[in-house]
Amino acid sequence: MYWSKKLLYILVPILGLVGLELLFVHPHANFFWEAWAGYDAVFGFVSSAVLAVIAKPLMDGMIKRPEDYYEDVYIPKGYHGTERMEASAEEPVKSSKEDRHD
Amino acid sequence: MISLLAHPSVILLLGAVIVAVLPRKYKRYILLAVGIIGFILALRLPVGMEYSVPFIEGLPLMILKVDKLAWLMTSAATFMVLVTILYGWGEIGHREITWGLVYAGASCGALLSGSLMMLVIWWEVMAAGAAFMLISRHDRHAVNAGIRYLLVHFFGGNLLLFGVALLARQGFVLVEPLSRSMGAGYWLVLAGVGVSAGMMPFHSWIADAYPNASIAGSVLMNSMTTKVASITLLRLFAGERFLLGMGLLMAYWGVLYALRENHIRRLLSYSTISQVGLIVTAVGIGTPLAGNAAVALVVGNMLYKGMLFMSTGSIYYCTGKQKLTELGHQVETLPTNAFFFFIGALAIAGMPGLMGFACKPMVMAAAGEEHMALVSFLLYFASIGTFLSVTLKLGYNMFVGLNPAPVMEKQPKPTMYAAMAILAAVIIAAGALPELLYRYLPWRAEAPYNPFTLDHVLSELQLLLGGLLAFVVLHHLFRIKKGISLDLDWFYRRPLASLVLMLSNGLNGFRLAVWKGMLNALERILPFFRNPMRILMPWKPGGKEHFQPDRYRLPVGAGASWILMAFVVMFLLMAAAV
Repeated sequence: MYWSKKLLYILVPILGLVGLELLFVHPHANFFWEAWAGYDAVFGFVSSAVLAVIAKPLMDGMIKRPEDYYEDVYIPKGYHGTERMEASAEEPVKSSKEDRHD
Repeated sequence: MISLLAHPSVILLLGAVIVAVLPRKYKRYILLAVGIIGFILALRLPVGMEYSVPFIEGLPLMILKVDKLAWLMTSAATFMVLVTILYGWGEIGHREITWGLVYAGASCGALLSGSLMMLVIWWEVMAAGAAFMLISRHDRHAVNAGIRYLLVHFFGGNLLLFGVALLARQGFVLVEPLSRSMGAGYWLVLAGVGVSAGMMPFHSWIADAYPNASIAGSVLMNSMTTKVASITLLRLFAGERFLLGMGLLMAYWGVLYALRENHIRRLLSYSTISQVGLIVTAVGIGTPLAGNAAVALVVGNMLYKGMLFMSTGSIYYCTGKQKLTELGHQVETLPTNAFFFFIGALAIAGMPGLMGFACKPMVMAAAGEEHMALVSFLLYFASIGTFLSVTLKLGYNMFVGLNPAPVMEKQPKPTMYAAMAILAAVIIAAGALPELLYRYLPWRAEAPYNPFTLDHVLSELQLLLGGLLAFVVLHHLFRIKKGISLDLDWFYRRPLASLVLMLSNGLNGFRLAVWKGMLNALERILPFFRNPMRILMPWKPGGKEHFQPDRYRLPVGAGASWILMAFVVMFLLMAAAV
């Protein structure tokens, strides 16, 4: 019930727009497919689905890594000069007290 | 010399010096004054003004050349500086302000420079300003990102310098359209500018630097480097076919990574890559309409992407969290912020009535006018991805979502809302009356364009609703997960870093080994340099005749008399010499 209601709220405006396009619009398109009524709604749905499928399931296996993946590369723990930065890393928004200009 | 005082960069750089020197009590007011004066100076720049000084070998160094495009872009850039100052009121450290003003001044200088050499100079200052703006935050990640930024951009700047030097040898010194017949210099300049525009494979500095800047810093960065680079591309390389493919590649890369991303400001950065991709595609099409589209998109991106960075930044400011997996239901805690976010997000998606609708369809129209069917199709395809990733994914998960709302540490400042309200007013005004923006476009007369035709509005709404339908039906595909996505910066963050560390460790090991060997050798040969009597008369337990140093040592008086005699001799010699 819930899902069908949600879908109705989207599908009805789409159908309304397609109806408007059929009734009132004289298409002046650059390409023939742009003149089809309702093309854009279908295109929007299909291209979104394609992008989502490529972005999530297809790319996950290759490039997904844990969040601390880059943490250990650069500066080894206790490297000279990092102590001050390590100490202030807990408060990343603000700069240190003497650096605020107010 | 008088005309140099009209240069907005001068006041911005002067402001940087003043802010660095003056006591902090008055700093923010001076900062605001600098922003306002810079904006007014940029607005008052007379179109057609030129100023150049002689440079090496009599080549002119054109510091100031104002045409319509430069005027529009400088005004937009200084406007964003002003809004950013308002947004970061009292929240930015003074080192960061100083470098931010240097960065902004250099960007305006690059937009206004008329000769390639001047462009290179500003380019390097721009890179340094942005990098030190990142480094001046006391945050380990920001410092690392700043150093990576510096490396990438100095690499690009050197390519640019190399190309400009080659072109200068052939006699091309001005910022004007270049052609492929100029040979290697052409491609080097293209690569150098391309690194700053975020072209593949050097795009990942955007997703690396923007999220690591402070909340105001990311707004500033968003409106500077990539936009200046896009305008420079438009000035130098309009109609270059290579840019067509590169722009589409960037558009897709950005969209796909934005759909995967969990970090809110990094998601926006990937969306920036995709938007710059659209701009680069427009530059590659190269007709007057496409040129207009590129300029409008650059201005639009400064404004509505700036708005998005501001509203996500204030969420970070209030909650201290910027992962989608930790955020949710913000519409209850920050309703005003949600309103501003959705104005920016719907504008970037191209909702009719907001600014994006006045900018984005122009690119598609330019492609359609040139009968580039595939390009037009792919542009639509990529632009729906922006709606999915920014408006739907980011907006839904941040403001509604499945997670409970995190604890609010503080409320956003009124100045933050003021900055966002100014931007919202501009976005809505330019969306409702596109002529407000269009009259300033450089090729307005050659390529008139009106977005508000019925079929156009209807098809845009259908496109957005189709995307929304997909988001609702396929919601399990858009579920957010923890984790990061590897990008091409992996190559210089993992293997290159390991290589450098390995080489440095290897050299250090070599140094230590040599040192240790020397100490060992010294230990081995040390016995041979001892008193020979110790070897001739070795110590034996119970033996009487072993070596005793004191028995063979001269008395102290002998040494003293030797020194005294040396003094006497020296004295006599000196007396004789005089």
